[in-house]
Amino acid sequence: MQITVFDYADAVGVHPGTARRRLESVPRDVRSRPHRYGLADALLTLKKKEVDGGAMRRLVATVVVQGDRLYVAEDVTAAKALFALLPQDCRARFDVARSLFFASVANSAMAVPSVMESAGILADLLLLQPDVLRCVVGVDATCDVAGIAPAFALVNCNNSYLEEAA
Amino acid sequence: MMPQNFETFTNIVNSSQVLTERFSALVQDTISAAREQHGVDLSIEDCTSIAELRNATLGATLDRDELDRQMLELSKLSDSKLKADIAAGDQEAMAVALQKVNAGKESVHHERSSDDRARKISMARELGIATPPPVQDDLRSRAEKIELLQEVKNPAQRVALARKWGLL
Repeated sequence: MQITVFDYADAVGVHPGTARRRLESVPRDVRSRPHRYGLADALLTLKKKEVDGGAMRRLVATVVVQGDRLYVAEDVTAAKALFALLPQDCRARFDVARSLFFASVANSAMAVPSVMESAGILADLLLLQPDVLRCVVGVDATCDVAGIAPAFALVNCNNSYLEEAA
Repeated sequence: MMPQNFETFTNIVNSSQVLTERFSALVQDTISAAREQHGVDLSIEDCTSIAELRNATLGATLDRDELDRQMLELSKLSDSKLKADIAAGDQEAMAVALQKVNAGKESVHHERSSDDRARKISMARELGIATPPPVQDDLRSRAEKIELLQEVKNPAQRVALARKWGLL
């Protein structure tokens, strides 16, 4: 999931110069024009007032996902930091998603030790799955967490980011 | 049992209208009797191999009891009777079935030995004197499969393989 400086400026309501300065330290894809920045890290640069004003929802709504929706090529620490930034109602929605995730994985063929040992980290990482994130910040009303959970667990378990965190 | 050749008999029956009619009536009787009493479908060839039926076709007086007894000796029927007896807990039937499973060549060529063992166990299962085959998908093999999948680096390939193995 990536955004441009202009997406950021529009969604947050700041000058593109401000947006560029805030995104300075965010990892980006320099092969594309304009440069594309990682959404999770970009969201972390928002101010509390902007989050309360709905900037997060507007920014997430601009994202067009290309390629793999299941594999989250990001750090679980980014997911945790983003969770800390979420408003109360969004956290409540993510808690529902988390428990659906646990229930669904435990009832699927993925209920084996090598997957379940990282289930907690996987549930944290679930926040960065595009469909879940859209639902949590309020862009979409629903999302099929139970349906994607087993595949999500399989695809993301023991990816290199998780190994660093563990 | 060696498949016997009843060509002479068939020729005789075919050459006479009366014999053909009598034969087909007897075959119909026997087939429906087998279906009613034992739940087994016989073919015309099976009926032809019953000596009493052939004799009756050619004009001997039909002995119903003898016909029934010879019908039971057909391998299709004796299997189904044996199976019913074993299910009812008959020890003797079980011994007969065991003998039947172990019948055959004493020594099997080593290249054929696994075929022979497979044939024996499936026959034993059919007769109901062996435990059913083990359930394939137990937890351990599933865990092993998933551990293998985790070695696959490409996420899309991982999901595709998991679908192929029936895990998703």
